[in-house]
Amino acid sequence: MHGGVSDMSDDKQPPTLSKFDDELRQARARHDKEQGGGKSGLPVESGASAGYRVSVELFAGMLFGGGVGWFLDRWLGTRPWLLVGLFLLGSAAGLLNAYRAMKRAERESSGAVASKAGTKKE
Amino acid sequence: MAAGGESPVHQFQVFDLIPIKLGKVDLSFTNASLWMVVAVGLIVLVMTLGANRRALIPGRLQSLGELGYDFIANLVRENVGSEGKKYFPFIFTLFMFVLFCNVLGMVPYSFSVTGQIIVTFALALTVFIGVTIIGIAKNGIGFLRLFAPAGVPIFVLPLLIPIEIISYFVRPVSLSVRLFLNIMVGHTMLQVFAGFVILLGFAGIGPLIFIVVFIGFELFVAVLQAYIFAILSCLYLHDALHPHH
Repeated sequence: MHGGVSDMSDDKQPPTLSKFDDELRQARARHDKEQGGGKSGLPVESGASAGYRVSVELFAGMLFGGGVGWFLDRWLGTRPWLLVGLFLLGSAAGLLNAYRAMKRAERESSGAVASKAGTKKE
Repeated sequence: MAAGGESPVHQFQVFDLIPIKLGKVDLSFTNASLWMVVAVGLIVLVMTLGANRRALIPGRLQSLGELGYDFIANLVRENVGSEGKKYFPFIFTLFMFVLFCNVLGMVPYSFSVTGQIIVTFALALTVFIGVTIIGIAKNGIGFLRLFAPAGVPIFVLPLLIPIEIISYFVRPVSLSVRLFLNIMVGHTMLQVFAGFVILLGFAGIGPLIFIVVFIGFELFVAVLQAYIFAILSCLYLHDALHPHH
């Protein structure tokens, strides 16, 4: 779109493949930078299902900690200490995962809003 | 399996179609195996037929395939980055398999493979082991930095590292439990309300309307859960490739 109609005679050749490849690569790099190595939002996810996702995270932590503790206890004959300890650690890990999932959901929703606002401004 | 008087969880029963025993190992071809084969067959059919014509203006099947390809390609590019392109075939296969199993489970008299915890756990464990191997292969010992976030006071580390390690190992559990619970609970609910329709006689029109709405919602959940399974696998892959938070 640079030249317009005037340089039709001398710029008739289509761009060479290597030039096109370069441009494509530049565009991809620009796209990557704009996305910020980033995360896409969940376009269709409501608040309820995001909350559900987070609660599964919490529940899985407890389940995993308790389960591993129970098996190790049975194996090593240390009932009930490993169960208690690993259940607590598992709950903490579940909380950590739930916290991260929430942060991610928050960033996604605010990021989506920001990028939309950005494109409108331009 | 919708006959009255059966328990609502009867639909999840696995039974042998062709019993195969190899020594002590039970390799029987079950109804679950059958529906997995159906799902894989359908995916292959849709994809090959869609890619057959390669028309400039795509027909229905071709645009279905192209939509799926585009969707997952964008998902991988945005969540893993450009270096994630190598893993696109895996994520695409995973997404398609979960999607088809979920949606096929909505067909009356079919069987929901993803309503079995062992199936979803096997899928999640595949992702988990694969991602861990990729992370160690790409970063070597630096992969362990995933368990010790930068900028944490040194005296908190002894407590934080076990928690981080457990939170890493919880991933396959939460990934599989999420998919399994969504599908299992939805199908049980449908069955329970279908029982109400028969019990209530004429007033059963209420639960019937609910079921119609709920089936629509379940279809939405089926697609959403396949999407969430794929996006979380992408996020784990991203973590493995860039272990410093």
